[in-house]
Amino acid sequence: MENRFGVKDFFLFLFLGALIVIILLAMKQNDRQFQVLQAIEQQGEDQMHELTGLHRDMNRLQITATVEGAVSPATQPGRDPFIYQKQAEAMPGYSQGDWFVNVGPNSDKMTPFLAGDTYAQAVQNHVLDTLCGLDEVTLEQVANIASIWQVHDNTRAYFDYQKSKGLSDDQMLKDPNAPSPEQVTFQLRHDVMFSDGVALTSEDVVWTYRWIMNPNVDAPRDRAYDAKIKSVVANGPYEVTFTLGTPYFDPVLLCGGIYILPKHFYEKYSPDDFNKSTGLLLGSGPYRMEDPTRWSPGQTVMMLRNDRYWGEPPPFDRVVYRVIDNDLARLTAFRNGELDIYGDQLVYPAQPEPYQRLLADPNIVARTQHFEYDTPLGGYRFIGWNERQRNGKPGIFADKRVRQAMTMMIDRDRICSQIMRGYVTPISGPFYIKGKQNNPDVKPWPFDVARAKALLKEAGFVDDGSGVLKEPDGSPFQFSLTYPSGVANYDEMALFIKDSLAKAGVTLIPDPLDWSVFSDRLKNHNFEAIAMGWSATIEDDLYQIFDSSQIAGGGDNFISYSDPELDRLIEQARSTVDPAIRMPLWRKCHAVLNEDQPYTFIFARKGLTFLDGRIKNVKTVPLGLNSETEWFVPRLAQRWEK
Amino acid sequence: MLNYIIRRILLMFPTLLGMTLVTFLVMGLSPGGVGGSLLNGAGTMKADVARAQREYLERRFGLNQPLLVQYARWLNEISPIGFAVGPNQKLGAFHWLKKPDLGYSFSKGRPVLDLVAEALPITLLLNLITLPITIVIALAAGIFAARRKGGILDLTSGIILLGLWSVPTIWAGVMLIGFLANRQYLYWFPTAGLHDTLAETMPFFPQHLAGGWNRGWLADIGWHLVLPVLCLTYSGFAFLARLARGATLENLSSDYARTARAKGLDERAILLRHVLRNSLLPLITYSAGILPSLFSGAVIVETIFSIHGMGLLMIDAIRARDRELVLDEALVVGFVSLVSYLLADVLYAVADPRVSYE
Repeated sequence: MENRFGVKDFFLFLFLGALIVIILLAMKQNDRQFQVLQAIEQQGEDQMHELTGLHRDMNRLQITATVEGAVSPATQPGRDPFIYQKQAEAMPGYSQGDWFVNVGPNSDKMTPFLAGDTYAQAVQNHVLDTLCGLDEVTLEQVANIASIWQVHDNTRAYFDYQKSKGLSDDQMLKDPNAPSPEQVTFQLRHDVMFSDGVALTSEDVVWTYRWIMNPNVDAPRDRAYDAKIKSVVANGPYEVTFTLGTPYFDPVLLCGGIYILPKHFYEKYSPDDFNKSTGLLLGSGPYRMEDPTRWSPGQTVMMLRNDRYWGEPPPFDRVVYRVIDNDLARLTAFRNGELDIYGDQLVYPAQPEPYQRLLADPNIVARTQHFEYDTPLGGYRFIGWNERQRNGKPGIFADKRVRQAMTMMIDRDRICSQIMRGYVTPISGPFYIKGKQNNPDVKPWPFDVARAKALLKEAGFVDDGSGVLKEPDGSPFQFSLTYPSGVANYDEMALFIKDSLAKAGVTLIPDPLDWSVFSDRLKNHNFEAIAMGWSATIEDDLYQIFDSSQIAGGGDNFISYSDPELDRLIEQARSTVDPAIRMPLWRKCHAVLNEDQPYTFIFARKGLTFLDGRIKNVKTVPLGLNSETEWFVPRLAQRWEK
Repeated sequence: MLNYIIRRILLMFPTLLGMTLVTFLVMGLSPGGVGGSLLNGAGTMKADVARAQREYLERRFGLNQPLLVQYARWLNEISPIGFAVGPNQKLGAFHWLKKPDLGYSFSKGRPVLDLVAEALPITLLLNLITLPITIVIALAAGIFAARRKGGILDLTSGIILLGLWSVPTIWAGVMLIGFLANRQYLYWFPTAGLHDTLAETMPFFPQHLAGGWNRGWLADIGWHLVLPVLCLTYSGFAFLARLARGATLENLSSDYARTARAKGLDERAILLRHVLRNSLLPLITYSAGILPSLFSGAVIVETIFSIHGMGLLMIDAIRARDRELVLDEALVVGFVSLVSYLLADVLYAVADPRVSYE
């Protein structure tokens, strides 16, 4: 065999060796360039910091003059949106700096309006800004980009016209002669600029609205929200008027809650390019993305303090969102101190079980802080009683007494304390318990089996001594409870209810379903009783869920509940702009729902959050936890350097 | 031979057509149908908004069209001959040659090609590290066991491998994180992902910087890969090691090995120079079967360690009943499987001159 190492082989090896050395050297060189680049970037950042500080001071001098001149008695003066943050800044030990490291499951998109998940929403809340904000204590609208606003309430004329012509809301939208029910005019602050240094003007507001309404943009969700707005017009560079086409009870929230995008940045993209993008995110909020165009799914989101932000600079140098899909890995990462928070109510609510496990560990408790609090983000869980059978005839639950009896036979307090381990709040209606719609006089129905049995007897159900309750037509009283499978605690809850009903002679058949089947059944009203949850907001509109007009045509009154009194109250509340009149109406709705029991309201979830102990000034407020911009880390406790 | 290969390639088309059609029908006929789980997060969405979204998607992606029409449209999309497709699913002019398009994933809102281009390198990285490690360890263990056939070492290695093989990955992964990436026990490895939070500011190579020792970007990835790779390899040994052991045993007792011994070669030379080469044959053909899994990714490991490769992409697609994504992935994995089977058959003929397909 000629297997000897020849001259040719020698040169081949020499060549290969040289190639490897060259590649290594090239990598090394690249590495050095990278470091130089980083140093330059750092210098640039520092200089920008100084410059924008100067800029802000100059602008402040200007703005105090303009705002004071513009306030008139008819306008609502916006109060300082930063009072809580300024209180924090006055606290002993307050210091800017350090990073806040959060986590969430992966998101597909960061581009505004495209993303549906809460992870993206949490990130966008840092980068984008709205015309108005919400006060976390009083739950009222406060100024943000808009310094003041004025609401022109014309609902009376709108309804008069609608009644005289007999038109529906949709037809009114199309009728060119129909009067607009409401108009909101916002005065924009003069000192707001996007994080790339371009000033924010009314043109950006108008463009953002048009962009959302562009049918080629993948933003059906926001489009549905904003469909009530007929037009947005700029009157000069710092004034915008929103004209509504359909009345809405809180027009300021509707119009002032839209994220304002920079026109100059986004208009470069066609709707198609915009739809396909993953990380186009640039705004005027307190933070900015490290790179406003390059984020892609799976990457850590790195947000830097926006030095061009017009308001109070936020405390943290950086806010970081890492991606960890597995909850156990998230828990371990928090234990390791890699994360500053476990259980962000918006991004990934903590489940009671891991929360308790953290509580049981004295080492963790010693170096962290934890909070259990009410939050509208928790939503509420209920059992809905379908009042119609599949053939359209009234079913057993059409009788109010039966529904009341069902509620009284279910020991909701034990569900709350044992299955949910006490990390929920028992409720009596659909409204956020700390919101203004909630009627504090309405108490949940008691757990009272004897009274329930009496009511059932009254409704014609017979107890013939066999232990099984008979329906008026003689058949045994049984029904199936449909609920989504694979969601925490539903199985335990269904079995618990089955047990308690069995004692009263009622048979419950658990019917867990995969979500896609579940939502299909929901759409077709194909169930007898259903357990599920709705999300809640600061102010909920009951129309979609409880109004009798929403039974047909794919509305969400899938239990076919109808009460003329409630319909009237809902209509009245929805068309009232003044909260002083509207809130009592919602509270009346709450009382009607409690009496009728179309749903058995069970509980609202509490927010459960663990936070690293070095973060100070975290506290609970009516909205949940106070804003991240009020938290801080004292200088000596700071972990991350710049 | 060429004739045979061409025949096999032509057969691929109807096979792929059947595969994707069955996949699509199973997805479309299941309750909820195509895009059925799209509103999975409906609980967190206002009711009217959820409906608006559904209507929009139906219009834009034709989700409410009959199943066969949807399938035909997909075929049209991926084939190089067919109709151009305009916005909102409008069919345009017929072309004899057009750019085949993998389409647009409606659950992720991005072209499928982009999604695959993001996920595939990660999966390949993971598998290309795992595969050689698995094969080397399996070969070593197999040959080691074969040389001591029936001995106590053969027995114990057999038991250990079988034991490892029967440990479920999902359990092992969670245990690894719980013990090796947990400050309470041993905090040797990171908990999730492929990069550190600070990876973007790291130099490429490990080096001494102002703030102290920096492990560098390259070493950082390696450090993050340890646990996932461990999870992927341990269960792979057992089968391959048994295969290697069997082949080695057979070859060790064959005529040519006896001849070699007779001619005075020492046992070591026989094993390494003659037996090893021949024992590799079944392993090579077996490895061709592994090829598709290189592309499909490892669902469980990717989920536990938050690595966004092909496995997670596929699971997401199935959960959302994403028409394009599921079909394209079925197509790609199906195609790679068929090609690798063909490759295995051809390799077989190349390696063993007695096999012929004429």
